[in-house]
Amino acid sequence: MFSVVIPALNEEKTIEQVINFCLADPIVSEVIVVDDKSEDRTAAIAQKAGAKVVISQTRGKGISMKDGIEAATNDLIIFLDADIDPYPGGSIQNLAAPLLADEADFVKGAFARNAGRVTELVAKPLLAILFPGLSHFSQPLSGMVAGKKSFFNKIEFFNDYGVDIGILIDMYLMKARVKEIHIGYIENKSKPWEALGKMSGEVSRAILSKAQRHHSDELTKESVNSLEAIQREMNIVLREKLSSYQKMIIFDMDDTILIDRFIDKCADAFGFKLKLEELRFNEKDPIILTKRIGLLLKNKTMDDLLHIIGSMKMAEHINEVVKQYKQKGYLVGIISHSYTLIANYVKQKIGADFTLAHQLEFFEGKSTGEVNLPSYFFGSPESVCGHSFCKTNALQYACERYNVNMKNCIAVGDSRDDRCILTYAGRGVAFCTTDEMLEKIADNCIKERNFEPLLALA
Amino acid sequence: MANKLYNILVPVDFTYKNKWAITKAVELSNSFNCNIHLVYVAKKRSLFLRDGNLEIALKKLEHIKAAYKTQLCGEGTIEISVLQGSRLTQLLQYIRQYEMDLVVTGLSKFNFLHRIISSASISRLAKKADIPVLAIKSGGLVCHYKKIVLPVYGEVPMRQIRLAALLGRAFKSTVYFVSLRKHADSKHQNILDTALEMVQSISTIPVQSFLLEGQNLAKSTLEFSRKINADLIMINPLKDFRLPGLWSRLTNKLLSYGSRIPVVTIASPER
Repeated sequence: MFSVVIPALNEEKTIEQVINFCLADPIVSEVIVVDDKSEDRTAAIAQKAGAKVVISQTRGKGISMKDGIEAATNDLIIFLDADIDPYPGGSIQNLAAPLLADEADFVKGAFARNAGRVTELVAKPLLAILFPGLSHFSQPLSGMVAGKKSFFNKIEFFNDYGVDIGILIDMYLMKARVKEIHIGYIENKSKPWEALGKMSGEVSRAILSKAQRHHSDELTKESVNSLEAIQREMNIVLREKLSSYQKMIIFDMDDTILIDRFIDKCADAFGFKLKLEELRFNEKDPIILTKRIGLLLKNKTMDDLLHIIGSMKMAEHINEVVKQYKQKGYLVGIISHSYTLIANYVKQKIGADFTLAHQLEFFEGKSTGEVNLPSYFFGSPESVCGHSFCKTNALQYACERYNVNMKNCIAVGDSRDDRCILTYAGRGVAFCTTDEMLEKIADNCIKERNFEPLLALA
Repeated sequence: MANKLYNILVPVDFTYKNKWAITKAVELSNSFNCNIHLVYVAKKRSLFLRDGNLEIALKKLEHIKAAYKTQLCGEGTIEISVLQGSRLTQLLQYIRQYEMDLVVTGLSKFNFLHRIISSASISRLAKKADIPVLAIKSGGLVCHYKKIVLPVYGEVPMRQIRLAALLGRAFKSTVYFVSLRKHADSKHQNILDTALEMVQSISTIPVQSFLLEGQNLAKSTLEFSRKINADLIMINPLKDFRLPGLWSRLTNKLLSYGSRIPVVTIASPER
């Protein structure tokens, strides 16, 4: 007779049907649901449906499986997933048959399914190099397995997505007789793309750690080198090719998103208007100018500055435009020669993704007047424009960081400072500018303080 | 216009002048790590097709590819294609489909037929494809663009300036803006100043400006370029860049057709 172990976490919708399906099979003498501290009624429903419920002490599929094995009273155990409903008829019989006929010690259930990106892109290539004997398995990550308790007791369980592949490799290394059985079609929910990265990492870690531990001598230099070469080249190609799909829109902040310039408002509020004008007139070096303007804000509190930015108006429809661009897959950023404190406030307000700006230093809530200029504003031998201090360098940095091709970027700006960035972005948009040259450089000009026309470019 | 060169198209017709164009494309590919696309367009009803087939053309292209592949030292590769149909249509389609950034074409010394009859004449290609067309009229020995001459007349040549900035950064070039003295009234002087300011706004390459004597901008530019031993001239496919004389006017002889110095023709953007 068989014990069926079902690890479950928040599966109140399907658990009852899965238990009923198991109990209906004459070869099943007990169903053990290992509840992984579900926040819903999974445990109660399972108990009511006739399963033995074990509450797992630690979350994780590996530990739940171990708990299930300990609680099982039969030597033959079948593991099923709790979220599949319905199972194809005869699934249990199919999994059990090779064990009953003494043809296998461990059976892996495979099923026709709608997706399997980690299986195809990660697990199978790694198995082909490190465990060629397992490369014929069509679904090495399947969680529907059956086996002998005595074999399960000898192996170590990973407590993450690597658990199923880990069991398969251990069984293979123990020289257990392993068989793959096809049990029919199952509608399996594809994992969201965010989870695929984590899953890929855990699966590859499981395969590689098993390979290192069990046959480190046999892990030839060739295998290591080929893995590294594949990974490196694939990364380069993926980065290069995927960059053409990524898109980004960059906004200048002062006089573009904001109707005024933040520092001008500060000058009005703190009374350094004349000093500011004098500085602008006399100081032509942008780095020194930025540093010296920062000194005008010495001893001003964070609250003072946030109060000023809070009172400033933004251009019409900016929130709508940002929302729509994000919906169309654009990354939205702000590149400004203002301060991160202010740029981040604006970012929050409009729902942008990132900001690149200068760092005004604060000590005990008050500005020291020191401005740290981030390295990404400075030129390097790779700079497209060659300017030593320029927003284009920051754009290049953002493109590198978010893997966006510069020709897929839209830059929106208003002033002389933005000439360069508007030139090198794939599309430059001059926004309510008074600079004639910027108008000439830009691919598009928006004359009114309203971002709506920008939607046509998305 | 792209800020980097990714793909260069070289239309091939298996004549001696292809060699100049491919050599120039290889130089650019080695500097920008870009790909070279050698494309042969066969007319649908040509004798060539009736006699043999496109396979011969493909084999010839493969030979050319093999010969020039060894000269590539960057990450760029050489792609070859044989197309069938109208030359201009096929080339334009290829340019759009594979996102070409530059066309490099070889010109024979006597190019009357090319500029009159050819459907893919430089001015037509530059206008229709909306990408720069670099015309090479001789092999040349230099492998760089240290001196770039940019004649200015009428509007500020934004696209030329962008390309000059791109090449200038890669080859550490100096850009020479030239204009005719007879145009040096306040408006045109202003354009020269604007062009200078523009280059400084978008790059750090050295720039100089000169007022030239003479009545024809194309001719004066050519003379100036020869005098300073320039490596590249950048022009518009406009009538202002036609060489002087009735014959030149009738046969649309742009500066590109009369210069041994490579000339890149860039159409103004349509606003």
